[in-house]
Amino acid sequence: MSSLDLWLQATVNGIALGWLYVLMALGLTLILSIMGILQLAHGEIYMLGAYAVHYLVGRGLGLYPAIATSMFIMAVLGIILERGLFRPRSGREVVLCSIVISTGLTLILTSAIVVIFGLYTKSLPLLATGSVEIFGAAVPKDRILAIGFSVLALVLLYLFLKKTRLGLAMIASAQNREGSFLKGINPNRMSMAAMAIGCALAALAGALAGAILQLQPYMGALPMIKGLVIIVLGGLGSIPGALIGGLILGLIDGIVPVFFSPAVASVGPLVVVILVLLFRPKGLLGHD
Amino acid sequence: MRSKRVFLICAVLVIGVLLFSLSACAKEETTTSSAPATTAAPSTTAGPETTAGPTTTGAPAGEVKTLKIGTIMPQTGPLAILGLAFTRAWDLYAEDVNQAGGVKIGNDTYQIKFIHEDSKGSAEGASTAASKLVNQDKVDLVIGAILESEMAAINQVTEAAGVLYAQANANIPGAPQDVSSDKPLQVRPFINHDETGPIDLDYIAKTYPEAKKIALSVPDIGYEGMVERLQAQVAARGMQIVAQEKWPWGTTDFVPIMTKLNAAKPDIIWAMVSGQANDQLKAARQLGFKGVFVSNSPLGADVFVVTVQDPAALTDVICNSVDVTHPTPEVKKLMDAWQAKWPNDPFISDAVHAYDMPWVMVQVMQKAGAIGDAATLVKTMEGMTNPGDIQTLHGPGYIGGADRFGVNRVLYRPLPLSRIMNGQIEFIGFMEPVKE
Repeated sequence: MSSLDLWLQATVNGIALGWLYVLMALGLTLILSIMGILQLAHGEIYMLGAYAVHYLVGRGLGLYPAIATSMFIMAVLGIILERGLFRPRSGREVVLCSIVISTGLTLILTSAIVVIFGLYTKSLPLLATGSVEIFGAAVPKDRILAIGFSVLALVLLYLFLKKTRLGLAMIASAQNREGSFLKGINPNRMSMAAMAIGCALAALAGALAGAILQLQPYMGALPMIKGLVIIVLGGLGSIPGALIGGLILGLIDGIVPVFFSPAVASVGPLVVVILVLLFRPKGLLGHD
Repeated sequence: MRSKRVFLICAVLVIGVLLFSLSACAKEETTTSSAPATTAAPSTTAGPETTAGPTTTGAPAGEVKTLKIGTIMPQTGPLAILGLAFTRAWDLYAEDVNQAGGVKIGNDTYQIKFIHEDSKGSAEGASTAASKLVNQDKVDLVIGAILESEMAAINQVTEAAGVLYAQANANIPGAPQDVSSDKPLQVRPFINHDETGPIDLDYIAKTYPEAKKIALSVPDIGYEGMVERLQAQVAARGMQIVAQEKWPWGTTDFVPIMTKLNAAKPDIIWAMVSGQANDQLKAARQLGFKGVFVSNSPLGADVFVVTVQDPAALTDVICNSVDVTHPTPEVKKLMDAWQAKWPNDPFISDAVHAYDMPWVMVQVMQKAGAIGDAATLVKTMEGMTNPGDIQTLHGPGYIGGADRFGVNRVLYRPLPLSRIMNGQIEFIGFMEPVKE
């Protein structure tokens, strides 16, 4: 295998991982920019989404309908969480409360999955088997499909945000909550929409990752950390920043272990974040 | 305000109903991890001579005493899955013994009582648990630990208290925390995973004579000694290790590792003792590797079949775990007892190793004729070196290890060998460990 083939294989794998990270980070950044909270249980929504697919597939539903249903269920759960737990109330410190609530939620959701499904690793049906040859390098088909689904989700999100009234209202609310309120945009509705979309994206990421890798109750922790690194790297609240940050992290995870070592790859993202923050304290595409 | 309350109440009710129904349905569900029905080729060698299971007394004649065994395993955190499998197996062993009336040791009959403690996967947790078991519960024996750091912590407490400690694992055989002459009250009723090396290599040499180049996938947790040992065994058979990659604990995506190993164009990819060998196989096959895949991990062949799914990928896979699709009658009994008690959880083959541990220690006590005096028990165990001195679920075994660890305090017993071809599991047989 030539060095070029190795590069190609590593790059495609990195891009596939990167897109999964992007899905996670998009939800996080959407929630952060519109609601102003850090939803630390987002990794658990990712895990819950994957387990919902596992459950639905076990009930006889096909993989793709199960993924769509899981996204819908997580969106509804997001709305319930927003209305029941995260909605700002007078006299309540929003940021601190959200951190405490989402940390508790993390423990509750993980424990619930352990109780219901057990600690044992579960599997989802494969997205695809085998690989395709691109310039002599074998590229796993399931990763190509994961990239396809993730790109599709991002395009749909982009169209939603740019072409629909609700999407435009969400952008306005994210840019200036008070100003948009004076223009008649209900911030609570925007928060609800952000949680619904964010949770649906996390469910999609969880389902894709679950089909490529495996399911276990603690699977949400690492993507959550990656998601946080990405939004810091890309700029808090910036959707293009989340996209670029996710792809950078994915490429680091895909390429560095092949040409250096997995240990270097685990340090890589932190080094990049430190360097970026040194020169651009608001992240790559962050703004005031 | 009223509508908000109504919404909240409705939401809580909906979540409650959802969780309840999900829980109820999940209980009926057959998980994808459960053992599949496979049509396997007939085994080429017979299994071990079956043993009678734990030696019990029938109904006790006089006073029944209690043999208290303290266990220390991670019951919370990422390693809890192992702790759970082990403690369940121990409970099943106690049930077997106690339902049969107890076990006769010397002139007394004992019911077995396990006291389980959580190590939390840390040395601190293990130390606290050991102190409680030794000082408060006054146990006769301590069994447990997955990690070497836990073993060291437990040994510090048990040695000081003069209590026998049976370690339940050996990630790194010969590590400073493993059995040795400077730990007089520590034994290991558990065979090293790397004893499978010569068995696998001989099988490969016979079945795949063209396969010579091996790529090693190694968890980065101190396996250097095991790698060196394997290198010597490989070289002795005219084979060669052409690539070696270490990966950190917690790795879930093996495509980068397999990309690198595959670049060396190996005939064989050897996944050294890892619970994620199935993920490694999946990644290797996706990247076009068509050679022999060896897993000397505790992962059962059935787990490969269920999780890797693709029959094209499930070919020429060599496994050394207990083959739950071809169990011995004793293993089958254990599996049935597990399924009856925990019908939602797939049987984990680690439970077979775990079940053997207290059983081995009870056999040592029976031979010594007493449960007390840890030093006497160790001395007795060190003398049980003849094949058949110890009975296990894998067949007759013995105590050895002096050639490698300086002391005869390690269980040696037959090791299972299976091969997966086109998604079907072939049980090759139980193989005696080879001294090399």
